[in-house]
Amino acid sequence: MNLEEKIINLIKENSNCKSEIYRHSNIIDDLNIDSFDRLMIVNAIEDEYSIEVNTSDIEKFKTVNDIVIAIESRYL
Amino acid sequence: MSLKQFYDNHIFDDSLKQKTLFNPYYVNVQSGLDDALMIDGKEFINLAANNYLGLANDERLKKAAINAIQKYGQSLCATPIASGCADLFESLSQKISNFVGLESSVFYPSCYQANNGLFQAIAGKDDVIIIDRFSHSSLVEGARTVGCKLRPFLHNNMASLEKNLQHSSKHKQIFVVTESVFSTEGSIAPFAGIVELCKRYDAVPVIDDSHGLGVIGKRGRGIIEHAGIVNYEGIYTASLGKAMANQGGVVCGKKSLIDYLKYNSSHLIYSTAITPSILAGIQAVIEIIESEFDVIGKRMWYYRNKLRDALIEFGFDVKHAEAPITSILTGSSEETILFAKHLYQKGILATPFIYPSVPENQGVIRMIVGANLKEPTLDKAIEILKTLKPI
Repeated sequence: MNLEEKIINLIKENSNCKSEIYRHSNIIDDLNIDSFDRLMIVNAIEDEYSIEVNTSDIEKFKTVNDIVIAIESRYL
Repeated sequence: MSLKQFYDNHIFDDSLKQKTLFNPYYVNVQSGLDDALMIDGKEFINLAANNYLGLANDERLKKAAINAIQKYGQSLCATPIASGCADLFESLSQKISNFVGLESSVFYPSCYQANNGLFQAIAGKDDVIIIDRFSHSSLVEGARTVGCKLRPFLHNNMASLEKNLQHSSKHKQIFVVTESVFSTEGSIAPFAGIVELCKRYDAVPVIDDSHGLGVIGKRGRGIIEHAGIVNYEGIYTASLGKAMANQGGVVCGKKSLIDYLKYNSSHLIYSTAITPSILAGIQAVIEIIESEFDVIGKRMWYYRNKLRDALIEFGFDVKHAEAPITSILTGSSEETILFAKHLYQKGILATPFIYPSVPENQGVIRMIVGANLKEPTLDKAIEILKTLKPI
Protein backbone atom coordinates (compact mmCIF):
# COMPACT_ATOMS: atom_id res chain seq x y z
CA MET A 1 0.00 0.00 0.00
CA ASN A 2 1.48 3.36 -0.98
CA LEU A 3 1.43 6.51 1.18
CA GLU A 4 -1.67 7.97 -0.49
CA GLU A 5 -3.68 4.77 0.02
CA LYS A 6 -2.46 4.48 3.58
CA ILE A 7 -3.47 8.06 4.42
CA ILE A 8 -6.89 7.62 2.80
CA ASN A 9 -7.37 4.50 4.93
CA LEU A 10 -6.35 6.36 8.07
CA ILE A 11 -8.85 9.12 7.24
CA LYS A 12 -11.60 6.50 6.83
CA GLU A 13 -10.68 4.77 10.08
CA ASN A 14 -10.40 7.97 12.12
CA SER A 15 -13.37 10.09 11.11
CA ASN A 16 -17.09 9.91 10.56
CA CYS A 17 -16.54 10.52 6.86
CA LYS A 18 -18.98 8.50 4.75
CA SER A 19 -17.97 9.97 1.36
CA GLU A 20 -15.56 8.47 -1.15
CA ILE A 21 -12.10 9.87 -0.49
CA TYR A 22 -9.81 10.89 -3.34
CA ARG A 23 -6.40 12.55 -3.39
CA HIS A 24 -7.95 15.85 -4.50
CA SER A 25 -10.78 15.73 -1.90
CA ASN A 26 -11.12 18.89 0.18
CA ILE A 27 -11.07 17.90 3.83
CA ILE A 28 -13.81 20.29 4.94
CA ASP A 29 -15.99 20.81 1.86
CA ASP A 30 -15.95 17.25 0.50
CA LEU A 31 -15.34 15.14 3.57
CA ASN A 32 -16.96 17.18 6.38
CA ILE A 33 -13.88 16.64 8.54
CA ASP A 34 -13.99 18.83 11.65
CA SER A 35 -11.12 19.87 13.91
CA PHE A 36 -11.43 16.79 16.13
CA ASP A 37 -11.47 14.42 13.14
CA ARG A 38 -8.39 16.21 11.82
CA LEU A 39 -6.63 15.72 15.14
CA MET A 40 -7.54 12.02 15.19
CA ILE A 41 -6.25 11.58 11.65
CA VAL A 42 -2.97 13.35 12.37
CA ASN A 43 -2.49 11.33 15.59
CA ALA A 44 -3.06 8.14 13.61
CA ILE A 45 -0.53 9.21 10.95
CA GLU A 46 1.99 10.05 13.68
CA ASP A 47 1.47 6.65 15.28
CA GLU A 48 1.72 4.81 11.96
CA TYR A 49 4.99 6.43 10.89
CA SER A 50 6.49 7.25 14.33
CA ILE A 51 6.69 10.95 13.50
CA GLU A 52 5.49 14.17 15.12
CA VAL A 53 3.62 16.57 12.86
CA ASN A 54 3.93 20.29 13.64
CA THR A 55 0.72 22.02 14.69
CA SER A 56 1.36 24.73 12.10
CA ASP A 57 1.38 22.08 9.35
CA ILE A 58 -1.88 20.54 10.57
CA GLU A 59 -3.66 23.87 10.22
CA LYS A 60 -2.50 24.17 6.60
CA PHE A 61 -3.99 20.85 5.46
CA LYS A 62 -6.83 21.64 3.07
CA THR A 63 -6.87 18.54 0.87
CA VAL A 64 -5.80 14.91 1.13
CA ASN A 65 -3.04 15.83 -1.31
CA ASP A 66 -1.71 18.46 1.15
CA ILE A 67 -1.35 15.76 3.81
CA VAL A 68 0.34 13.29 1.45
CA ILE A 69 2.83 15.88 0.18
CA ALA A 70 3.62 17.25 3.66
CA ILE A 71 4.19 13.82 5.17
CA GLU A 72 6.27 12.62 2.20
CA SER A 73 8.44 15.73 1.91
CA ARG A 74 8.91 16.77 5.53
CA TYR A 75 8.46 13.79 7.79
CA LEU A 76 9.56 10.58 6.05
CA MET B 1 -7.61 48.45 15.76
CA SER B 2 -10.26 51.11 16.33
CA LEU B 3 -13.10 50.58 18.76
CA LYS B 4 -15.49 50.49 15.80
CA GLN B 5 -13.45 47.75 14.09
CA PHE B 6 -13.39 45.81 17.34
CA TYR B 7 -17.16 45.90 17.69
CA ASP B 8 -17.63 45.18 13.99
CA ASN B 9 -15.55 42.03 14.46
CA HIS B 10 -17.82 40.79 17.21
CA ILE B 11 -21.27 40.75 15.71
CA PHE B 12 -23.46 37.66 15.99
CA ASP B 13 -24.10 36.10 12.59
CA ASP B 14 -27.89 35.92 12.46
CA SER B 15 -28.13 34.70 8.85
CA LEU B 16 -29.84 31.50 9.98
CA LYS B 17 -32.40 33.53 11.89
CA GLN B 18 -32.96 35.67 8.80
CA LYS B 19 -33.40 32.58 6.60
CA THR B 20 -35.75 30.74 8.96
CA LEU B 21 -37.37 33.78 10.61
CA PHE B 22 -36.96 31.98 13.90
CA ASN B 23 -34.54 32.04 16.80
CA PRO B 24 -35.01 29.12 19.20
CA TYR B 25 -32.41 30.41 21.64
CA TYR B 26 -32.84 32.54 24.76
CA VAL B 27 -36.63 32.20 24.80
CA ASN B 28 -38.35 34.19 27.55
CA VAL B 29 -39.76 31.61 29.92
CA GLN B 30 -42.36 33.10 32.26
CA SER B 31 -43.10 30.14 34.54
CA GLY B 32 -41.48 27.29 36.40
CA LEU B 33 -41.22 23.81 34.91
CA ASP B 34 -44.80 22.81 35.51
CA ASP B 35 -46.97 20.67 33.27
CA ALA B 36 -47.29 23.68 30.97
CA LEU B 37 -44.52 26.16 30.33
CA MET B 38 -45.37 29.81 29.72
CA ILE B 39 -43.50 31.62 26.97
CA ASP B 40 -44.61 35.06 25.80
CA GLY B 41 -47.97 34.55 27.47
CA LYS B 42 -48.64 31.25 25.68
CA GLU B 43 -48.69 27.70 27.07
CA PHE B 44 -46.06 25.31 25.75
CA ILE B 45 -45.36 21.60 26.18
CA ASN B 46 -41.81 21.52 27.43
CA LEU B 47 -39.69 18.80 25.84
CA ALA B 48 -36.54 20.91 26.01
CA ALA B 49 -35.49 20.93 29.66
CA ASN B 50 -33.19 18.33 31.21
CA ASN B 51 -35.74 17.96 33.99
CA TYR B 52 -35.68 14.15 33.64
CA LEU B 53 -37.32 13.36 36.97
CA GLY B 54 -39.56 16.40 36.87
CA LEU B 55 -38.39 17.67 40.24
CA ALA B 56 -37.47 21.27 39.36
CA ASN B 57 -40.83 22.60 40.54
CA ASP B 58 -41.40 20.05 43.32
CA GLU B 59 -42.86 21.59 46.47
CA ARG B 60 -40.39 19.75 48.75
CA LEU B 61 -37.42 21.11 46.84
CA LYS B 62 -38.82 24.64 46.86
CA LYS B 63 -39.52 24.40 50.60
CA ALA B 64 -35.96 23.23 51.29
CA ALA B 65 -34.54 26.13 49.28
CA ILE B 66 -36.81 28.67 50.98
CA ASN B 67 -35.88 27.34 54.43
CA ALA B 68 -32.20 27.69 53.52
CA ILE B 69 -32.78 31.27 52.41
CA GLN B 70 -34.55 31.98 55.71
CA LYS B 71 -31.53 30.63 57.60
CA TYR B 72 -28.57 31.78 55.48
CA GLY B 73 -29.96 34.50 53.24
CA GLN B 74 -29.49 34.52 49.48
CA SER B 75 -25.70 34.30 49.42
CA LEU B 76 -22.68 34.15 51.71
CA CYS B 77 -20.99 36.63 49.35
CA ALA B 78 -17.62 34.91 49.43
CA THR B 79 -15.57 32.26 47.72
CA PRO B 80 -15.67 28.82 49.35
CA ILE B 81 -12.07 29.04 50.51
CA ALA B 82 -12.82 32.33 52.30
CA SER B 83 -16.14 32.40 54.15
CA GLY B 84 -18.52 31.17 51.44
CA CYS B 85 -19.04 27.63 52.75
CA ALA B 86 -22.31 27.10 54.57
CA ASP B 87 -22.22 24.01 56.80
CA LEU B 88 -24.47 22.47 54.14
CA PHE B 89 -21.46 22.47 51.79
CA GLU B 90 -19.68 19.84 53.86
CA SER B 91 -22.70 17.75 54.86
CA LEU B 92 -23.99 17.67 51.28
CA SER B 93 -20.52 16.75 50.05
CA GLN B 94 -20.70 13.61 52.19
CA LYS B 95 -24.27 12.89 51.14
CA ILE B 96 -23.61 13.12 47.41
CA SER B 97 -20.38 11.13 47.75
CA ASN B 98 -22.29 8.29 49.41
CA PHE B 99 -25.02 8.62 46.79
CA VAL B 100 -22.73 8.15 43.79
CA GLY B 101 -20.42 5.73 45.62
CA LEU B 102 -17.23 7.75 46.07
CA GLU B 103 -15.16 9.06 48.98
CA SER B 104 -15.43 12.83 48.74
CA SER B 105 -16.87 15.71 46.69
CA VAL B 106 -16.58 19.43 46.09
CA PHE B 107 -19.12 21.79 44.53
CA TYR B 108 -18.40 24.28 41.76
CA PRO B 109 -20.75 27.06 40.61
CA SER B 110 -21.29 25.15 37.36
CA CYS B 111 -20.24 21.87 35.79
CA TYR B 112 -18.54 23.84 33.02
CA GLN B 113 -16.30 25.37 35.68
CA ALA B 114 -15.87 21.99 37.36
CA ASN B 115 -14.65 20.38 34.15
CA ASN B 116 -12.40 23.30 33.24
CA GLY B 117 -11.09 23.74 36.77
CA LEU B 118 -10.37 20.06 37.14
CA PHE B 119 -7.95 19.85 34.21
CA GLN B 120 -6.33 23.17 35.05
CA ALA B 121 -5.49 21.76 38.49
CA ILE B 122 -4.42 18.21 37.68
CA ALA B 123 -2.92 18.17 34.17
CA GLY B 124 0.19 19.70 32.63
CA LYS B 125 1.97 20.08 29.30
CA ASP B 126 3.74 16.71 29.53
CA ASP B 127 0.47 14.80 29.84
CA VAL B 128 -1.92 13.33 27.33
CA ILE B 129 -5.69 13.61 27.45
CA ILE B 130 -7.49 10.92 25.49
CA ILE B 131 -11.05 12.07 24.98
CA ASP B 132 -14.20 10.74 23.32
CA ARG B 133 -14.66 12.87 20.20
CA PHE B 134 -18.30 13.60 21.14
CA SER B 135 -17.45 14.87 24.62
CA HIS B 136 -19.10 18.02 25.91
CA SER B 137 -17.53 21.40 25.20
CA SER B 138 -16.67 21.88 28.90
CA LEU B 139 -14.45 18.79 28.82
CA VAL B 140 -12.91 19.62 25.45
CA GLU B 141 -12.18 23.23 26.36
CA GLY B 142 -10.89 22.17 29.77
CA ALA B 143 -8.54 19.70 28.11
CA ARG B 144 -7.43 22.19 25.44
CA THR B 145 -6.45 24.86 27.96
CA VAL B 146 -3.87 22.51 29.48
CA GLY B 147 -1.84 22.67 26.26
CA CYS B 148 -0.91 19.00 26.44
CA LYS B 149 -1.24 16.32 23.79
CA LEU B 150 -4.90 15.81 22.95
CA ARG B 151 -6.01 12.49 21.50
CA PRO B 152 -9.68 12.27 20.53
CA PHE B 153 -10.96 8.72 20.05
CA LEU B 154 -13.94 7.54 18.03
CA HIS B 155 -17.19 7.78 19.95
CA ASN B 156 -17.63 4.89 22.42
CA ASN B 157 -15.11 2.88 20.37
CA MET B 158 -12.94 0.71 22.61
CA ALA B 159 -10.55 -0.29 19.83
CA SER B 160 -9.91 3.36 18.99
CA LEU B 161 -9.40 4.14 22.69
CA GLU B 162 -6.97 1.27 23.17
CA LYS B 163 -4.98 2.26 20.07
CA ASN B 164 -4.55 5.72 21.58
CA LEU B 165 -3.55 4.27 24.94
CA GLN B 166 -0.93 2.10 23.25
CA HIS B 167 0.76 5.23 21.89
CA SER B 168 0.59 7.26 25.09
CA SER B 169 3.12 5.61 27.38
CA LYS B 170 5.76 8.32 26.88
CA HIS B 171 3.53 10.90 28.59
CA LYS B 172 3.80 11.72 32.29
CA GLN B 173 0.11 11.31 33.13
CA ILE B 174 -2.55 9.74 30.95
CA PHE B 175 -6.19 10.81 31.32
CA VAL B 176 -9.11 9.10 29.60
CA VAL B 177 -12.08 11.44 29.45
CA THR B 178 -15.63 10.67 28.48
CA GLU B 179 -19.25 11.30 29.35
CA SER B 180 -21.66 8.74 30.73
CA VAL B 181 -24.71 9.74 28.71
CA PHE B 182 -24.05 11.65 25.49
CA SER B 183 -26.88 14.10 25.62
CA THR B 184 -27.40 14.87 21.95
CA GLU B 185 -28.23 11.30 21.06
CA GLY B 186 -28.60 9.39 24.32
CA SER B 187 -25.80 6.86 23.90
CA ILE B 188 -24.08 5.57 27.04
CA ALA B 189 -20.32 5.03 27.39
CA PRO B 190 -19.11 1.43 27.92
CA PHE B 191 -17.62 2.69 31.13
CA ALA B 192 -16.79 -0.60 32.87
CA GLY B 193 -14.64 -1.51 29.87
CA ILE B 194 -13.05 1.93 29.79
CA VAL B 195 -12.10 1.65 33.47
CA GLU B 196 -10.55 -1.77 32.82
CA LEU B 197 -8.50 -0.37 29.92
CA CYS B 198 -7.38 2.52 32.12
CA LYS B 199 -6.12 0.06 34.74
CA ARG B 200 -4.18 -1.85 32.08
CA TYR B 201 -2.47 1.29 30.75
CA ASP B 202 -2.04 3.23 34.04
CA ALA B 203 -4.47 5.90 32.93
CA VAL B 204 -6.79 8.00 35.09
CA PRO B 205 -10.44 7.76 33.99
CA VAL B 206 -12.50 10.96 34.12
CA ILE B 207 -16.26 10.61 33.63
CA ASP B 208 -18.80 13.41 33.29
CA ASP B 209 -22.10 11.99 34.54
CA SER B 210 -24.20 15.11 33.97
CA HIS B 211 -26.98 13.31 32.12
CA GLY B 212 -26.59 10.07 34.10
CA LEU B 213 -26.82 11.26 37.69
CA GLY B 214 -30.40 10.76 38.86
CA VAL B 215 -31.25 9.05 35.59
CA ILE B 216 -29.38 5.77 35.02
CA GLY B 217 -28.54 2.95 37.39
CA LYS B 218 -31.07 0.79 39.20
CA ARG B 219 -31.54 3.43 41.94
CA GLY B 220 -30.78 6.48 39.77
CA ARG B 221 -27.31 6.88 41.19
CA GLY B 222 -25.63 7.35 37.85
CA ILE B 223 -22.95 5.73 35.76
CA ILE B 224 -20.98 3.99 38.50
CA GLU B 225 -24.08 2.12 39.61
CA HIS B 226 -25.21 1.59 36.00
CA ALA B 227 -21.85 0.09 35.00
CA GLY B 228 -21.61 -2.03 38.17
CA ILE B 229 -18.20 -0.59 39.05
CA VAL B 230 -16.91 -1.31 42.56
CA ASN B 231 -14.19 0.84 44.15
CA TYR B 232 -13.94 3.32 41.28
CA GLU B 233 -10.51 4.93 41.50
CA GLY B 234 -10.94 7.63 38.89
CA ILE B 235 -12.52 11.08 38.81
CA TYR B 236 -16.22 11.82 38.51
CA THR B 237 -17.93 15.08 37.58
CA ALA B 238 -21.59 15.97 37.11
CA SER B 239 -23.95 18.85 36.60
CA LEU B 240 -26.50 19.44 39.33
CA GLY B 241 -28.82 21.30 36.98
CA LYS B 242 -30.28 18.40 35.05
CA ALA B 243 -32.09 15.50 36.78
CA MET B 244 -30.78 16.97 40.05
CA ALA B 245 -33.00 19.98 39.26
CA ASN B 246 -30.75 22.63 40.79
CA GLN B 247 -27.56 24.34 39.66
CA GLY B 248 -23.81 23.92 39.94
CA GLY B 249 -21.36 21.14 39.34
CA VAL B 250 -19.64 18.55 41.45
CA VAL B 251 -16.32 16.74 41.30
CA CYS B 252 -16.15 13.48 43.26
CA GLY B 253 -13.28 11.09 43.88
CA LYS B 254 -10.67 10.13 46.41
CA LYS B 255 -10.60 12.40 49.46
CA SER B 256 -6.94 13.28 48.91
CA LEU B 257 -7.67 14.54 45.38
CA ILE B 258 -10.75 16.52 46.45
CA ASP B 259 -8.71 18.15 49.24
CA TYR B 260 -6.04 18.99 46.64
CA LEU B 261 -8.65 20.61 44.36
CA LYS B 262 -9.97 22.70 47.25
CA TYR B 263 -6.59 24.45 47.41
CA ASN B 264 -5.41 24.22 43.79
CA SER B 265 -8.40 24.65 41.49
CA SER B 266 -8.68 28.35 40.72
CA HIS B 267 -12.12 27.93 39.13
CA LEU B 268 -13.32 26.87 42.59
CA ILE B 269 -11.16 29.02 44.81
CA TYR B 270 -11.90 32.30 43.03
CA SER B 271 -15.62 31.82 42.31
CA THR B 272 -18.34 32.87 44.73
CA ALA B 273 -19.53 29.70 46.44
CA ILE B 274 -22.66 27.92 45.32
CA THR B 275 -25.53 29.35 47.39
CA PRO B 276 -27.02 27.64 50.46
CA SER B 277 -30.49 27.48 48.88
CA ILE B 278 -29.07 25.50 45.97
CA LEU B 279 -27.23 23.14 48.34
CA ALA B 280 -30.46 22.60 50.29
CA GLY B 281 -32.30 21.95 47.03
CA ILE B 282 -29.75 19.32 45.98
CA GLN B 283 -30.07 17.64 49.36
CA ALA B 284 -33.86 17.51 48.96
CA VAL B 285 -33.56 15.99 45.49
CA ILE B 286 -31.18 13.28 46.69
CA GLU B 287 -33.67 12.38 49.43
CA ILE B 288 -36.53 12.22 46.92
CA ILE B 289 -34.50 10.01 44.57
CA GLU B 290 -33.50 7.74 47.45
CA SER B 291 -37.12 7.14 48.40
CA GLU B 292 -39.03 7.48 45.12
CA PHE B 293 -36.79 6.58 42.18
CA ASP B 294 -38.67 3.34 41.62
CA VAL B 295 -41.84 5.24 40.81
CA ILE B 296 -40.43 8.39 39.17
CA GLY B 297 -37.85 6.48 37.15
CA LYS B 298 -40.51 4.14 35.77
CA ARG B 299 -42.65 7.08 34.67
CA MET B 300 -39.65 8.77 33.02
CA TRP B 301 -38.92 5.63 30.99
CA TYR B 302 -42.60 5.00 30.19
CA TYR B 303 -42.93 8.51 28.75
CA ARG B 304 -39.70 8.22 26.82
CA ASN B 305 -40.67 4.88 25.28
CA LYS B 306 -44.14 6.13 24.41
CA LEU B 307 -42.74 9.18 22.58
CA ARG B 308 -39.97 7.21 20.85
CA ASP B 309 -42.32 4.47 19.64
CA ALA B 310 -44.79 7.03 18.30
CA LEU B 311 -42.08 8.95 16.40
CA ILE B 312 -40.77 5.75 14.83
CA GLU B 313 -44.32 4.83 13.81
CA PHE B 314 -44.78 8.27 12.22
CA GLY B 315 -41.65 7.72 10.11
CA PHE B 316 -39.19 10.04 11.85
CA ASP B 317 -35.50 9.16 11.76
CA VAL B 318 -35.07 8.55 15.49
CA LYS B 319 -31.54 8.07 16.82
CA HIS B 320 -30.94 4.91 18.80
CA ALA B 321 -30.67 5.88 22.46
CA GLU B 322 -29.98 3.96 25.64
CA ALA B 323 -30.87 6.92 27.87
CA PRO B 324 -34.31 8.57 28.27
CA ILE B 325 -33.59 10.99 25.45
CA THR B 326 -35.35 11.05 22.07
CA SER B 327 -33.55 12.70 19.19
CA ILE B 328 -34.77 13.04 15.62
CA LEU B 329 -32.26 13.49 12.81
CA THR B 330 -33.21 16.64 10.93
CA GLY B 331 -30.32 17.29 8.51
CA SER B 332 -28.84 20.70 7.85
CA SER B 333 -28.80 23.59 10.31
CA GLU B 334 -31.56 25.34 8.36
CA GLU B 335 -33.77 22.24 8.22
CA THR B 336 -33.23 21.67 11.94
CA ILE B 337 -34.16 25.23 12.93
CA LEU B 338 -37.19 25.11 10.63
CA PHE B 339 -38.38 21.91 12.29
CA ALA B 340 -37.93 23.49 15.72
CA LYS B 341 -39.94 26.45 14.41
CA HIS B 342 -42.82 24.20 13.30
CA LEU B 343 -42.85 22.60 16.74
CA TYR B 344 -42.74 26.00 18.43
CA GLN B 345 -45.61 27.32 16.34
CA LYS B 346 -47.66 24.32 17.46
CA GLY B 347 -46.80 24.81 21.12
CA ILE B 348 -43.91 22.40 21.66
CA LEU B 349 -40.52 23.54 22.91
CA ALA B 350 -37.73 21.14 21.91
CA THR B 351 -33.96 21.58 21.62
CA PRO B 352 -32.34 21.93 18.18
CA PHE B 353 -28.66 20.97 17.89
CA ILE B 354 -26.85 22.32 14.86
CA TYR B 355 -23.25 22.57 13.64
CA PRO B 356 -20.80 22.99 15.40
CA SER B 357 -22.57 21.28 18.35
CA VAL B 358 -23.05 18.30 16.02
CA PRO B 359 -21.23 17.40 12.77
CA GLU B 360 -22.32 19.39 9.72
CA ASN B 361 -25.65 18.28 8.20
CA GLN B 362 -26.32 15.99 11.14
CA GLY B 363 -28.63 18.32 13.03
CA VAL B 364 -31.01 16.85 15.56
CA ILE B 365 -34.05 17.90 17.54
CA ARG B 366 -33.78 16.53 21.07
CA MET B 367 -36.76 15.81 23.25
CA ILE B 368 -36.74 14.90 26.93
CA VAL B 369 -40.07 14.16 28.57
CA GLY B 370 -39.89 15.18 32.22
CA ALA B 371 -41.59 12.81 34.63
CA ASN B 372 -43.62 15.80 35.90
CA LEU B 373 -45.66 16.00 32.69
CA LYS B 374 -49.19 14.64 32.80
CA GLU B 375 -49.80 11.81 30.36
CA PRO B 376 -52.48 13.72 28.40
CA THR B 377 -49.88 16.46 27.85
CA LEU B 378 -47.52 13.95 26.29
CA ASP B 379 -50.40 12.52 24.25
CA LYS B 380 -51.10 16.01 22.94
CA ALA B 381 -47.44 16.43 21.96
CA ILE B 382 -47.56 13.10 20.14
CA GLU B 383 -50.71 14.16 18.26
CA ILE B 384 -48.94 17.36 17.17
CA LEU B 385 -45.84 15.46 16.05
CA LYS B 386 -48.07 13.16 13.99
CA THR B 387 -49.15 16.14 11.91
CA LEU B 388 -45.56 17.16 11.09
CA LYS B 389 -44.17 15.43 8.03
CA PRO B 390 -40.73 13.90 8.65
CA ILE B 391 -37.95 15.73 6.84
